[in-house]
Amino acid sequence: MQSLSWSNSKVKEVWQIACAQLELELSNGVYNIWILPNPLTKVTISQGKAIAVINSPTGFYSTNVKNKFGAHLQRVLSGVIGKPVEISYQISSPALNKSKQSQTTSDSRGGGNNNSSSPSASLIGSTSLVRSHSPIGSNSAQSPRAEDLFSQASVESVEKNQSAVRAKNIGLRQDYSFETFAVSSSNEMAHAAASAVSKNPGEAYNPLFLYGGVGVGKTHLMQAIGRNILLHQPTAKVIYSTSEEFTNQIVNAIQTKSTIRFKERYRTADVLLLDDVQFIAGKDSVQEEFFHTFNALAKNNKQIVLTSDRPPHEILLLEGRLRSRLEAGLMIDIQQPSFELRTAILLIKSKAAGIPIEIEMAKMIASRVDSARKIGGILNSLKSEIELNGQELTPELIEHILITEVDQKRPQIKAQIQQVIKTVSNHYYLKQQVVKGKSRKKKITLARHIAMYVCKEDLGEPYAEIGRWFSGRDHSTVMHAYHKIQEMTAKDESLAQEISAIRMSLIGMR
Amino acid sequence: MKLELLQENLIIALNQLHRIIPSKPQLPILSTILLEAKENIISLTATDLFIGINTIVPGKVIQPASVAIPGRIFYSSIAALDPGKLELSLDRDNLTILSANNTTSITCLAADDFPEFPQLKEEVSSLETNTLEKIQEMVSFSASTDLTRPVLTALLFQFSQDGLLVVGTDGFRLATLKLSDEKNKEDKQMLIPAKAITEAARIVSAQDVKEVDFQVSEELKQAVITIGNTKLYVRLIDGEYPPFNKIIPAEFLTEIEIDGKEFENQLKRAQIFARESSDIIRLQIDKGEMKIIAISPSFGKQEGVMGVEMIRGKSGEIAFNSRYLLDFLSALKPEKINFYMNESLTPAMFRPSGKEEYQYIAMPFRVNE
Repeated sequence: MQSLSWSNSKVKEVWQIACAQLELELSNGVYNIWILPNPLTKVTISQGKAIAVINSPTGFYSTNVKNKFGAHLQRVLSGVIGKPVEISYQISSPALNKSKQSQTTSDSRGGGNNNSSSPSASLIGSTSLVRSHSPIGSNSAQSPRAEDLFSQASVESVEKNQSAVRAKNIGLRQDYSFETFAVSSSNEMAHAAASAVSKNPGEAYNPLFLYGGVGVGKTHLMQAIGRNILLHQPTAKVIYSTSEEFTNQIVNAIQTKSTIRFKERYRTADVLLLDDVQFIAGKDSVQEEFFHTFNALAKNNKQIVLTSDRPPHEILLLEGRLRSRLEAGLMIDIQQPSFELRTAILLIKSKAAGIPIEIEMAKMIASRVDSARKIGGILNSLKSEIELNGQELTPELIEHILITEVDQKRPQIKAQIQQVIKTVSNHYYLKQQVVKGKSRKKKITLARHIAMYVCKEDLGEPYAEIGRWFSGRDHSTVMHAYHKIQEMTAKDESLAQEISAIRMSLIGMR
Repeated sequence: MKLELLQENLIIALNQLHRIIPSKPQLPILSTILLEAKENIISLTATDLFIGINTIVPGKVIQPASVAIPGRIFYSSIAALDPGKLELSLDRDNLTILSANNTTSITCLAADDFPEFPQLKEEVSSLETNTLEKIQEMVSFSASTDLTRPVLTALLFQFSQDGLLVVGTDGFRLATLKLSDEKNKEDKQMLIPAKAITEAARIVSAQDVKEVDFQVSEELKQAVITIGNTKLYVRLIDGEYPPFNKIIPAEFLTEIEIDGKEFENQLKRAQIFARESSDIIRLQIDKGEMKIIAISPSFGKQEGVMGVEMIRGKSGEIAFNSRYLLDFLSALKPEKINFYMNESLTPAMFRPSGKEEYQYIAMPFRVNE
């Protein structure tokens, strides 16, 4: 048999009729205490019987209504409803219903006429959590206002704080977020992919493989993904680990016979961030463990993000099956930051460090420093000069720091002019004789000029001496070449990189 | 009915009861105290139909019976008597109280009309009395007294395997106390009116008991707290407790340690001038000292300074309603306080030094110069 519930208005009507009858039959006090506060709230008809719900504010009311007036109520209600009635006694607070109704109307905002510290009604469990509070007499000069502890603003600020702590516990850096990541053509793809992954972990691109040289922002992007996921899913289990830590943990787990715990830790992650994955190459048991972890996570659509200094196919000693797994996701190459991007990074980082520098000064530094990581070093020295030694932020100060930080800290090249010429020639696949010679082919002149530049800049040889090595050229020719290259490197990124590559091979020489 | 008891025992019991008797109820029976004498047990009962108290008075029953005695007059006349033996006897609806030099006669109501108490069948669990006292001292004061927000007049009791967490808040400050010893196998939570806890603590202080029993019925929305020979019937509060976990910062940038008594004195001085501007006082923390500033638009300014131990963090400024801080200080009377803050407008925390299980979160005020 179907049961049928009466509408609220019908229930109310029945209750009114019953009340009118009960009021006549009972004394005023009894009616007011035992009947009125315990209304009929629901009637269900089932199998020819009516089940009536009598709702009381407390167990005291309910117990007494039931024991003292149950039979009486049953008789009256049966008469009104016209069916045999069974009464079910329930308890709920009428105050709650009342406050629900008043929520919409009593939301007085801190207008200064609230007469006491007691905040007005509503709020809990409601959506209108934002409210401000203005106690006693705010006609004063200061106008104090306290947000409710549970106001939207307060909850949000604390949530941020809590997610920051979670991020810290995981090992994510405070300053590595999407907000502090400067985007330009060299990294916009990577940024877009990372941002997509952080919004839909496990669904957008899985695995995401970021690769690129030192200081291009791989780790920054990877940690930003972790932070962003934590911000939106505070309970997500995010693991950030470098390959070295991963390796050490496996070794440790094997030693202490606790591999189960290790497996459980990694395989229950919602997001795995593994930095510098190239280091697991050649370590068989580590690769195997990583392979299984990878499969377990990928199978459950858990997000995996990896970084490396080179693409999977260039990582030697990487197992084939693992390589194919890595290549199955999205692989993105992050290029060295361009001059403009370095300037932008400088502006962002200097602001974060509390020493906002002018764009002109930023350009000055960006033209002399090639990696983002070094920019951090320069800013640190700038900050300490300003804060500890009380210096003013001037182009002269920057120049001074650049000289000590960049020029002097550059590893000394202890090579002969002869070796420079040899190295440059090898780099461009030219014969030394041609480089030293008189050919005016564009490619050869460039190589010759670079060699001259390096001899002057790094070896500090006199112009005339350098000229002698290049078929007895005049010192002014060398000077011209030096300035030309200096100018070009400030603008041409690839040239600057080539020169630093040449320097690297010279440093390696003895 | 005939019974004998001592005035000093009877008045202790009446002291526990009389507070809850409603002053002008619609039914006269509700303003009475039920006296039941049977088989050598004399019990007194009162209720306002939200809270109920039942207590046992030592005495001798000569002839058993029950009667409902008008509460206020009963309480007042017993309170006015000297200590010593009392003889109570009932003749129809007339209760006669015979003492050394007085004969008091009170017209009573029939015991049958007295409201019945709900019967709880649930399992009894117990709490140490010093735990209850701790809850009362450290948390109860934070709850709201505003009846338009019933949920905030309650304390949240959250039982779990890690222990019992008790929370109280009025929406502007919040206290949490973690009792790790009170482990419970199943997770459950309930809202008990802060007033009931205060009442229970008061009863505890009058009796020498080690444990307090709890019995809770979700169906009847009722809890019974048994303290020695007194039973306190309490209406549980319905509703959803605010998401208190979401407003407790996980870390603070600044932490300082200050002397509790000195801080209280400074606040009291500042409050004189803060009265006019909603009791708002400002704290300025800088280089090992803290200024406590209150400005009165019409009368002037008070500025106090006290030494602080900077544990970590930077200097900062924050404004509070001094009442919230004084509530905390007068309730806990901490010797040393640790104060934690982030920004001047985000929730900050106070804690008696070393009491890691406790947190007192206060919402700062925005001060526009």
